[in-house]
Amino acid sequence: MARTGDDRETVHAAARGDRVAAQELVESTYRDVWSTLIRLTGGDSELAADLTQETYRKAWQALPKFQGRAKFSTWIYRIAYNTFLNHIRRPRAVQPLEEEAAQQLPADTVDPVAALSWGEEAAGLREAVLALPDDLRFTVAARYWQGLRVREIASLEEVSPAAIRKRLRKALAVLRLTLEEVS
Amino acid sequence: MRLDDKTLAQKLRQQPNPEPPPELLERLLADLPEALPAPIEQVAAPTASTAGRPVWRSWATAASLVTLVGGGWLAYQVIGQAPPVAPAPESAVADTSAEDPFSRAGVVSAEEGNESTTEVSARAAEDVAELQILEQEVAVADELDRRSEVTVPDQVLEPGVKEKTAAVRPVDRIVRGGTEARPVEPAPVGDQPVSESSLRKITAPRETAAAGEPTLARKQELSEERAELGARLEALGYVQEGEVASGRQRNVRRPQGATSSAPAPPPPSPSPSPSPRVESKRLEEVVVAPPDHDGASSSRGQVQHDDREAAREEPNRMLFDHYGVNPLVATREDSQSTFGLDVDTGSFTLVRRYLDDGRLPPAAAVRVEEIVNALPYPDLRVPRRADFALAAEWGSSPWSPSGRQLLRWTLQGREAIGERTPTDLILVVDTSGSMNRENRLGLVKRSLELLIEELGAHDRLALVTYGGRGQVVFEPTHERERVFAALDALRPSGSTNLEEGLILAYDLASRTRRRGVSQRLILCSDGVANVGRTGPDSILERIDDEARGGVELTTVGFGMGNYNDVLMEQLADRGDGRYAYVDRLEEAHRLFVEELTGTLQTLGAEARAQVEFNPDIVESYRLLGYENRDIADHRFRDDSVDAGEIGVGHTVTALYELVLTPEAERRLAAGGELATLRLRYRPEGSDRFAEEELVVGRRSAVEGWNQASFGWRLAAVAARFAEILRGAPGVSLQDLDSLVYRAREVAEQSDEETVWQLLDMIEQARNLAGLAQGGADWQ
Repeated sequence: MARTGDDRETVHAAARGDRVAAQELVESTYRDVWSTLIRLTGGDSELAADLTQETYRKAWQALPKFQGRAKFSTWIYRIAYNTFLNHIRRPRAVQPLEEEAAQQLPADTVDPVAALSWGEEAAGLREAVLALPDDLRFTVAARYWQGLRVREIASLEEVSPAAIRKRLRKALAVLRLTLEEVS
Repeated sequence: MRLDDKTLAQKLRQQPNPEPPPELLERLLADLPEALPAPIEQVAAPTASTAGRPVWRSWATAASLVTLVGGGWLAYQVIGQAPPVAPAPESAVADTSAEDPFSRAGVVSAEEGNESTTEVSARAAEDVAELQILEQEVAVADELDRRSEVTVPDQVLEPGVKEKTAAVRPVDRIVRGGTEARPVEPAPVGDQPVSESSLRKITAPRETAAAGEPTLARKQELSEERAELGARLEALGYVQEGEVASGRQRNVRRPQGATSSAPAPPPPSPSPSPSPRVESKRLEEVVVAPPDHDGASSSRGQVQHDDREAAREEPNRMLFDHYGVNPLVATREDSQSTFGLDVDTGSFTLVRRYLDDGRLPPAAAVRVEEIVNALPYPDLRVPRRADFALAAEWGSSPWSPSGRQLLRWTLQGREAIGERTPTDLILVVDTSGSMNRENRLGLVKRSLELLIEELGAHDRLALVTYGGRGQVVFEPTHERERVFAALDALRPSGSTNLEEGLILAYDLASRTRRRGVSQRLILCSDGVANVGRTGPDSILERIDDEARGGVELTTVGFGMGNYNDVLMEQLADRGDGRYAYVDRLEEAHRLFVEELTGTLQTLGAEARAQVEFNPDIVESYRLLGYENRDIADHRFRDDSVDAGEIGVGHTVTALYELVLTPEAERRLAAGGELATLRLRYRPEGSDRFAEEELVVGRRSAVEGWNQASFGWRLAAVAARFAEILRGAPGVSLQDLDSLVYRAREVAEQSDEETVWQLLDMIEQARNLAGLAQGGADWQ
């Protein structure tokens, strides 16, 4: 992730229409975006790639509005997360595959297909994360999947770092209980 | 095997994370638009000093200090889990990259050379520091836990309060110039239907600590014990979160100095009569310079909020009334101090919002009592039978070198007994064009969603909206889903006919009144009214009448740019309701979820206080705050005087600064009284007023800061902060420096989010003040 240094210059260059700068932004962030999405989607590589693509498309549209207050990587995480939520909430008349839907939606039970390829515990944990309330899920995914710092998440959510820390504590407590129940 | 936080965090990071498909990057690059859209506004590259908010809560700093000083343990723990590694030295945190399990979790990417080793180790170090802070918090909280367990209500706040008799001080109207720069994170793009909807409650059973396993080193033992405590505390914290409104359990430290009165039997008193209003404010306009650093920043906020129309609007006008600062009063001349109680908290949130935006609030936006009352005081005893418990504690003021005393006077309302009275809630939502700015309406929707989820089966919900015209969208109904859907479909547009909206809502209330059901209007607005008789006076009379008839009005303020604080407070004040300001969803959660019962159920109406000082002991006194709640001394028992409403579980704090007479000590020793506190209110559902009294003497004295209770210190810090921000005589922004230390000392004793927020705010203010003094381009 583009943690090193300040990506502001690059963002501003991109916002001024500099394609090389934009390319740089993609290259430095897409792995993190993808890795968050692949986990959110439960290992569906195809879907994760599509959502990643959608995320960046939205980002380019919105780039003029990007304030540079947060890092680009933080900002794009928010877009990616929202893109995922939109995806699972979108009415899907055309998608007949029950299994796929089940895989994408937070479910109470462990999806056997995912479990097979992921290992039961990892799949269980992912399900547990997806079943968290929205704010906790957002925070956990940001912190542990996207690798954002607490301070960055706090500025995304417009709350204090203490509040984020509190959310993480809560989330871990719930996850622990969920996992212990399962085992 | 138990899963501790570290392991869990590690497992989360270790979630399968395969390599992105090789063609992904190509696809993404192919997607790059031919011409990237040109920036709408050229955004100046922020420099270190002006970019974003200042690094106020230096968690990172604190964390690295902790890590440097005592950090070996955790590093040791972390590293200790990777077997073949030797115990780490104190400095190990920095080079945990190779063996540290966290970094191994991140290895997926590290192996690809995508992430440098330093980054990985920085992340691991951060984790370590984070967990350490966490454990410290746990240790403190657990210590409190051990000392005692007391049932206390969450916190305080509540209905509007009234003055009306004596506030004849000159009032400045401050017009905030400039445009709004709301340096928020850019809102999610385009289709942003993602609601942060669910601050849902989850409950988790209380965990029990497992027995410690035998270990080699004592350090390890201790550290494991800490982790266990942490787990317990979290589970506990959870239970608290889940239980919401009533009967919360909280572990607190018992105050050392606070005493509480045995409530005196309430004497009968004449029934209330219509209250005369005295309106005697002189308004003058003051133009405050634009707060932004530069022209670029002033265009930011609007552009990013998908509201380009609004971006071209007139400069924002923030309306506040400045009620002055209470003077020091000589006891010989006037031994009584009388005021209406106030449990509003709007000012606290408003100040927070200003600081978050990187500016100091205007003095008029700072009301000391609202800032003090926004904080939780877990040290107060909750009365079981009586409506309220009074308590007092006094000691040397930490702020005054001249030996002044600080008297803290508190009132704690009892918790709800049994079920809340069924309530018909009439939501009155402002859908005017101004609500489009900053996505105000969006925040209103999400806030009300929280409220709707909390309602009981017997509550009903109605929805009235107003833009150019008022409209009854739903009459009171149990079908909250439908109301919610209707709410969700609202789109802002048009002018603002606040008056029509309120009148429609009141008419609806009187049409649908039912026996045994209380009625309350909840007005959600930015307070900007521009159609109808927009002066508050025209609608205030109606509000008065309705409040007397039992329909209370709670106002919730949203928005910043042209937010009208005066109007919103005044409406709630007259409507016998509470006034709150919501700057973020968290605040709505506090208002509508955690304190819903208090918000909806009044315990004492028209509550006022009188403190009578003993002139032999107290030479002079000064009430901190409550400037616009002043009541003439002789009207304390005049029940027609409009005062404050206090809800179930609410707490009210009032602070006095005292100068003692030379012979005070001797007289106190001889049993002399410092002061007598009186509370007068009308219990809910009764026509008669009740009074309670507490005599304060030597028994409730504490030496000073070090001996004082947590609550006394917290209140002292909060009040001091407010005094500094509003530029009270004798204080200056430099005083924030020393305040930060006291504030941190207090915060470290608490695991309450609001207390930590106060510390954040003080640090933010100090940083901003530093900028201002440093001759920066700030204001």
